[in-house]
Amino acid sequence: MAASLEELEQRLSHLRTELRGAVRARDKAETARIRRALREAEAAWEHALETEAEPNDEAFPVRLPAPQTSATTGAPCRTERPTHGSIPIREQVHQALTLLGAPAAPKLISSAYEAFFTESLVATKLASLRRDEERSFTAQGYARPYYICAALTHDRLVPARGLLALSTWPVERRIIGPLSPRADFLTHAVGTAEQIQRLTAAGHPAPDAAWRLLRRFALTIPGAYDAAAPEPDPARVIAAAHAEAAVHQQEDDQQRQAAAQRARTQLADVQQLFGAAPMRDALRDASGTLS
Amino acid sequence: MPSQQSEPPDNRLARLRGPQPPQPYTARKITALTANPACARRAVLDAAGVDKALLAQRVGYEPRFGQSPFALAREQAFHGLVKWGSYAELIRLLREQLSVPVAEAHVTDLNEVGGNTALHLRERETRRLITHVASGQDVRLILDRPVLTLEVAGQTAYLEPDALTHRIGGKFHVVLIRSFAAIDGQANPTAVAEAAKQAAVYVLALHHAFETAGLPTEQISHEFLLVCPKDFSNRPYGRLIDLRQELDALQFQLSRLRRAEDLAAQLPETATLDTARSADELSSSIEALDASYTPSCLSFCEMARYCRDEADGCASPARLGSGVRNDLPGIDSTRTALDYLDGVAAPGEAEAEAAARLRAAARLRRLRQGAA
Amino acid sequence: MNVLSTVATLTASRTGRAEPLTTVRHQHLDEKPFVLVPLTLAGEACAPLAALSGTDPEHPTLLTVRQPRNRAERFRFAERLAALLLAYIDGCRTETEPYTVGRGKEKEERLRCRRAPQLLVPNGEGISYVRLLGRLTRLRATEGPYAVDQSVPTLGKWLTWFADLAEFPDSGVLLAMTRLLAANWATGQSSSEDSHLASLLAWIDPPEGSDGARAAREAEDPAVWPPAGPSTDPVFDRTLHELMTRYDEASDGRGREAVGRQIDRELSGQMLPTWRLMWRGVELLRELPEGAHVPGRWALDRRWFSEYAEYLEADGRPQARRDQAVRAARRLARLEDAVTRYEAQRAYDDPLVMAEYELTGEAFTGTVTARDGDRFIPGERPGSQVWRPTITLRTGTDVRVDLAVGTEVKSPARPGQEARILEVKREDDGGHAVVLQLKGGFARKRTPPAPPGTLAEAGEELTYTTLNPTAMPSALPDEENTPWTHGGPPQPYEPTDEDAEETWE
Repeated sequence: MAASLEELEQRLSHLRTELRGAVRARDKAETARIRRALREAEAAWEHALETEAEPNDEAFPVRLPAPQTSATTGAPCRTERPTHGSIPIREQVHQALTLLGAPAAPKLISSAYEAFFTESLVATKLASLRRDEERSFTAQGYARPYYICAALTHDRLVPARGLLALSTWPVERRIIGPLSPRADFLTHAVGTAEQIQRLTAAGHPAPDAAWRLLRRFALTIPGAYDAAAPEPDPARVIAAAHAEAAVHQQEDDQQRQAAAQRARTQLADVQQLFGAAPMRDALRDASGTLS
Repeated sequence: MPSQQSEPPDNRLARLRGPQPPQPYTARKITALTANPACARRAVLDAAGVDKALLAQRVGYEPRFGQSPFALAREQAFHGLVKWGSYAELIRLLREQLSVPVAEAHVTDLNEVGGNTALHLRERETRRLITHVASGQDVRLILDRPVLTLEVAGQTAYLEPDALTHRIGGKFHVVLIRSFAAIDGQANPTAVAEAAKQAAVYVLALHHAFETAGLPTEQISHEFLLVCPKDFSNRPYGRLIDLRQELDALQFQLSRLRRAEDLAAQLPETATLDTARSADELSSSIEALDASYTPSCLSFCEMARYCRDEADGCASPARLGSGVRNDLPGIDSTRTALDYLDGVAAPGEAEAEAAARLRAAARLRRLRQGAA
Repeated sequence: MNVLSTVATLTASRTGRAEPLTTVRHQHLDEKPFVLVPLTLAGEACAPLAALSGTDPEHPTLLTVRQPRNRAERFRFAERLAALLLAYIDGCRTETEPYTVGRGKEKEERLRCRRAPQLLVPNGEGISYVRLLGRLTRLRATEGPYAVDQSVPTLGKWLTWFADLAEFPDSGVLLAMTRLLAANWATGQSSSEDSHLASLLAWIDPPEGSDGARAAREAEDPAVWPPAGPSTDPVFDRTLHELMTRYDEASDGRGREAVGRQIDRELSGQMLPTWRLMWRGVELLRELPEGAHVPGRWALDRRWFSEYAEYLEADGRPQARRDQAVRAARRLARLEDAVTRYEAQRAYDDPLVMAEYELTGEAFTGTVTARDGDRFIPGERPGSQVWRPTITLRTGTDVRVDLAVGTEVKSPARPGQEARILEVKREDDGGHAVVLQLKGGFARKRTPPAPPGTLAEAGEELTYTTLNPTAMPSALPDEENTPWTHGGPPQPYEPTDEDAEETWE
């Protein structure tokens, strides 16, 4: 006999209270058991929800205020994005990196991609990308037009933590020295701003998310943002980013070139793209990779 | 890979703990160590690296602390925000609030060394980089997640402050990122005090690193940079906070921790703090250690409710708070105090004055309660 | 903490029940208080999560925020709370009464409301919540890109008004139940344990067949009594986190609303027990008689209320973000005055409170053994005589009389009469004989005989003290200036860049 929605909701609430008790008591077996019962009850509830007509609002002994439309609808649902696209992830990353113009972290790649394109690109899916790409390159060499590869640290030429880059970029562009993260950040800002300009010029106004991303850049580059303006000005952001980049350029370029030269002479092709082997425990490695 | 803590061999504390790995010393744990310095029980439990939450549960008093998933998410989100875009917000803050010139933007990520995340490697690399920077060979605005060490109660603690910065007034500053807000320039004083205590631990560890490397310590600032959300927005806001008092207090308390080994040595041979053993064995071992329970223990120590029941059992005045305890000088049991009140027992010379005050107060209470 | 409360605490620890600390209640408890039980989201500065509120214990109004990290939702919550609280506040303004201010030529007649709002929250954190929510809302703009409804900044200004007055011990517009109860009863546990409402009430009002101590310990368990808030129980937060994730991810309106109902139910379940505790507290406090000075203090609160309501209608600019130095200094001085005055009034209203001062020697009690109703002494003008009767008080053996000859004292029995110590003599039995010279309080008579009742009779037991509830210790301008003397004159609205702030990830 199907229980009413109200009864099921009471049972769910009761089970949740029990579950909290088991968690407090650190009783793993009990916690697992109640969780299973909770999942079953939730399934039953969802089923009842589909089949029932109208829910009963007078369930509990408190009075709800006169509903205002804003109160019941709340903020909009997360906008739906098609999740299985026809575009493979590596191509999505390729587009995002091309737009950004410098090595970037998965979160930024995802933000940049979702700012300008309609499909979703979840950052966690990029975790294994570099590894997969390395395997693919090892097997096929330069068969593909591009690979998603690593950025290299300037001192040890190992893969820089958490960054993805394009194989079509010369090594210099993929070196991370002390000033490179900031220089690359400024490049990302310029890339974002230019993309917005491109879209505007072509008569396709950029999505809100793109403007929000630009704003994040603008707020952290000196002179890039006019506090009085409602929206950041892409041209202003570009000018400010270039101005700061000029300050760092000489020193940063020197380090990149020196490191790139070493990479070309010391590393095999696959290592130039995906980095030298990670450092082993120096206590045991007598030859050591410390510079 | 070596364990995180290095301990001297044949250590009584390690034997008491048993086969369980020791609790790692974080900055928060170290500040808790110094919170109730009079308590021998806590000193030994913490020095032995015992999991106090598990121990409390094993003897029937599971602790009621826990972190809310919302608080955790908020912390992570704010940290992420400060570090987004290669520390874009932190750099902005350093420039806008602390006048760091634009040319200073050098950063190093010490979360891993050449792809390896081993703590001792990171610690060595941190020291190497600090030495380079301190000697003027190199320039760094931000060192992200450096690793420092500190000797605490005979063990080496590995500590990871959020960041170090070197371009404020040419000195090294510890940077702590916290997600409690500063509303109109004022943050919750308790939260700030706790952050300051933790920062002091990191600063001491930094001193330790400098001394190991033979560097002069004048380059270490006695202030730390606290980064927290501004008002109700999420924009990071920074404030330099003086640590001299906390540093003095911490150094003093740490110097007195050596006694944990002495206290442990006094326990009977059969004593154990191995959480896998029976509740009875554990209880009798815990009882053999003197506690110094006060109500404030409830806010930070997992064993507090156990000690509270024990304090109830022996009618300790401190369990009722410092106000009551201060009114009962020289009287070590509230039952005794009540006996004096009732006139059932006669106080000795030392307690006579306090007892007289209590009796006068009790008399007045009786007289005045009925009146309206 | 004084020795009296220590003795009370010790006694309570023995009996298992709370001991009274007072014989009367020293705060006004309104006929129709607005009880507010708020909850906030962990980790944020002020992210309202839910609230139960209202003036009827049987019918609380439930407000919940299903997406508390969403800033627009926060302000919608504020709007809904505003609808309830502002209606209550307006309801207090319907009737007025005249009162006079100033003396002599500067005398003025004004109107004040016969009622004032009284907000009751569970604990000190609840007062901080009111202050923070006020700060969050009072500076918002009602136009432009991040506009909020007009009621929101109005709510904020009122909440800030409540919170500002709450710092003054003699004000009763915003009170924490834990503090109210702890002021009247001593438990057998520490004061930090007393800040837990369920534990505190377990001592004061133990359940049938249980002793307060045991019930109080059980009440600490969040599984038994959800925390009074605004902080939620971290384990409960896991349930909430799961439900809110479901809510965000729900695919259709009906499914979402169904999850929303579950969220509402869970939140309500966390607040209802505290709601009931609040009203039980109200009941217990109502059983106490009110102190004599209480209506007078409440009349002052009603005056501040009336003036602020008028100010909001006329000008309405919000309180500034922070007190400037001068204003802060004046406020501090006012606060110190208020504390001194309040403590003296409490002692006058309540012999059990006066007992504190008897122990410290600032007050003494004795029986009248002699009186001289015909005594005259030379006056200020040469050759004149003024009528100054004396009485002699004989104290008990253990009574402290530390006051020096010449000290000005007063008695609660005759607060309009000044007295001065002429002589203090130690007697054989250890007690004291104190001779007091009296001035005034004789119904304007300047010559004997004293009207009946104005001169203490032999055998009367009296308490004299240096405490004086009518003294104005600091040389501040009169309260005739705006209640902003509690703070300062209103500052012009500062456009805040918060209005331009957007949600970061």
